Amino acid sequence: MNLKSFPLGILGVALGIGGMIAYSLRPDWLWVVTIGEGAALVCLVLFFVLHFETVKAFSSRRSTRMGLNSFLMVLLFSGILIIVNFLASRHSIRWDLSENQNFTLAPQTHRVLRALPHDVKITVFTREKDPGYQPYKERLESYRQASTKLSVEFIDPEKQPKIAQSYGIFRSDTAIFESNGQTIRVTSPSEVELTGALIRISKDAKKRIVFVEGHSELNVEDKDRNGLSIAKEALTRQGYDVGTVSLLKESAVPENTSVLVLAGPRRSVTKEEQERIKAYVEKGGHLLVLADPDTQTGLEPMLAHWGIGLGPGVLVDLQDRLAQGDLTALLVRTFTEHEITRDLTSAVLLPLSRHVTFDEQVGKDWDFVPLARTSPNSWAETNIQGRVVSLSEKEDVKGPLPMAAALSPKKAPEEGKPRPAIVVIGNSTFVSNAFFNFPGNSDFFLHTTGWLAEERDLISIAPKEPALRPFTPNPTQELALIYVQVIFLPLVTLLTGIIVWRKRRRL
Amino acid sequence: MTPVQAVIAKELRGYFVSPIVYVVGAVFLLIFGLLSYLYVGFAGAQAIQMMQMQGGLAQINLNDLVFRNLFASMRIVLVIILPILTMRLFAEERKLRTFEFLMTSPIRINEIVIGKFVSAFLVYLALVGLTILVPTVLMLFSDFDWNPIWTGYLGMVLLGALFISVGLFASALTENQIVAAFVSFGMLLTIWLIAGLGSLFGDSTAGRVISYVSYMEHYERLVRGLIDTSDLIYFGSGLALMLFLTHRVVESTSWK
Repeated sequence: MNLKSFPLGILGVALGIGGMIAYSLRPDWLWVVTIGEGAALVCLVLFFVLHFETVKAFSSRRSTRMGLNSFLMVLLFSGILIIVNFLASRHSIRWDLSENQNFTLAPQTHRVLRALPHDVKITVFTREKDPGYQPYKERLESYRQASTKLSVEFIDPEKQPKIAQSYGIFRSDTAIFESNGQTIRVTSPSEVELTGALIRISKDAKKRIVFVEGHSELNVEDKDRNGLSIAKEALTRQGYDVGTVSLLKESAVPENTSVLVLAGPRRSVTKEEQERIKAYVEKGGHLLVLADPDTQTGLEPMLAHWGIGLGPGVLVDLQDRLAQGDLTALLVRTFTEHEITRDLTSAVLLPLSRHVTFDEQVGKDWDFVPLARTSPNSWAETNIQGRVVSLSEKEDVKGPLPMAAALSPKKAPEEGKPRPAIVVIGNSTFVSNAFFNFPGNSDFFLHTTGWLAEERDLISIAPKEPALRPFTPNPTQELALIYVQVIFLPLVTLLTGIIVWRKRRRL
Repeated sequence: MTPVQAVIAKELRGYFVSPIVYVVGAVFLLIFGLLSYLYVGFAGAQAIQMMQMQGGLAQINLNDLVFRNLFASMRIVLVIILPILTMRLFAEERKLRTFEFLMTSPIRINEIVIGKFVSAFLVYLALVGLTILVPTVLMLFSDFDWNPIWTGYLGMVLLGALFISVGLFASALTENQIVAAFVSFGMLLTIWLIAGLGSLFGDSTAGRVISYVSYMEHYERLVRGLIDTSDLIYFGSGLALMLFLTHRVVESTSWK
């Protein structure tokens, strides 16, 4: 066998490929790779020199030229498609036709994303098999599409434990938001959590919500049914700083208070305290009063100063009430058009409430907006002893009655000065841990505090529950489904085939 | 009649006089009907179970439990069935030696390729059209949202178009119909498995690019009710590339 008949070409190609494989397996054995690739080069050069005429003839063949031409065309066409797909994936338009609008962000989220002051880096620590992986991926993709200021990175804490360790991640399905030197940790892929984290991280100074204490009010630290710990957590999640104040100890409401809350006082509030609250509101403060029926708080003189009155008795509604509860467990659905109630979609559950009145003469400088009302089939029952069944025209007050109202001054404040605002709600238990998670309740409370703190974008986002449409077929329906879906369609198709086939055989 | 219409008419005649389309159609409809029936039964059983456990109404619906699963399962059915529908398109012509007639006819290659693709696609559309009876019957008994079902059907039509173009390409490569069916089956399965490869790379750029190449995530989004222009462009590009490659392969036979 002479050198010309030796398969130099095949050997050269084999050595070349072998060298590349060796390099991918052991990059540190560079000398082996160099020898392999060098030998391949020698073989190919020899092959080219020895078979020059054949190579020349091959390259001048029509099929070679056409093949090369075709190869280039395929390359060019693929290149165009790659560019088109790259651009399309960067700038896509979406239509969300899913049942629960899974891919659509709430208007509040869009507002937050539009107003982002700094770039935000989101690192999600999750594994593909974790339950949070898909929701994080889908939701954050929608966030990223809506804002160019977001960058999202997914990290598998098992595959990249070092990065997870550097962030102190101990559980999967955790997202870290980083912006402007701040870091926020999120442990659920819900839109409320993600948008809440964006709001908090985009704010330089936190607004402070202060709860008054000292009169057996609902306590923000209390984790029992009557506590406000869940409400506190929700407010913290929205980026607020939550605190308490005793106006008996302090000579005035603290300077940095954005909203002052009187969460259902059970004992009387002293005159001095009321003066301090009044002074706070007059300076442009924001006050939220939650006042339960049948309590002696002595708040009436202070509220009367603005024209507000707390109605007598307990509200009873024959129509808008909880089905399992008694007539006083109100399920309020009638809202007045106001910034607080505009986006409310669920009913608010108010167990045992009183109504709010307004004296237009006294409060002529204030705009009074009743936020929510009972139905026309309601009244304020003044005789609360025994079972409530019917309206007593003499003693009771006929509905519909407002049980929540917002007040703001008619005149615009002087430039640079804050505008005072007051919200009075005739019930406090709706915010307590026992009732806060009722969708309408948390929305109503967070919208109210958001409006008072003048945080138009800090509005809660209702969680998207899967649509409820259970279906269990009865035996007749089951048979109908079998006949039509499983038997009829395939059988007709098959019979048509047999008829055609027989007909063709006869031809 | 334009040349494309002539090719379509000829191919459709070929389809409907051979028993293969009826057998493929019957199997396709049987699997679609059976799957939807099984998923309805499963959803019903789950509803009862959840109601007993929670003492109230279960958070379930037919869109989530029946149709999403049904469309997701149809992927594998299409991977198996469509290569059988497309295997004869060019391979039969080569086997019967009618390919040379076709090549020497005044019909251009792109007209032949498009005509053959459209004919197979029309047969597939007819089969998909028949399956609408399934949600229609269910509608008589229950309540569900039609929008995600339409996007699911859009996904099935686009996926079917892509698979048919892959099958057409495979059929152009050989004169053996079985080989053509296996080649297209292998190609479709490989593109499917690429999604798994992409997920191995995680959320890196390489992982994202590899996952993008697979039809899985694009189809999944449509089944879940989201129409994204990038997914439509993905299917359109895949279809265009396969038809272009088929054109090149068919043309290459005239180079010798």
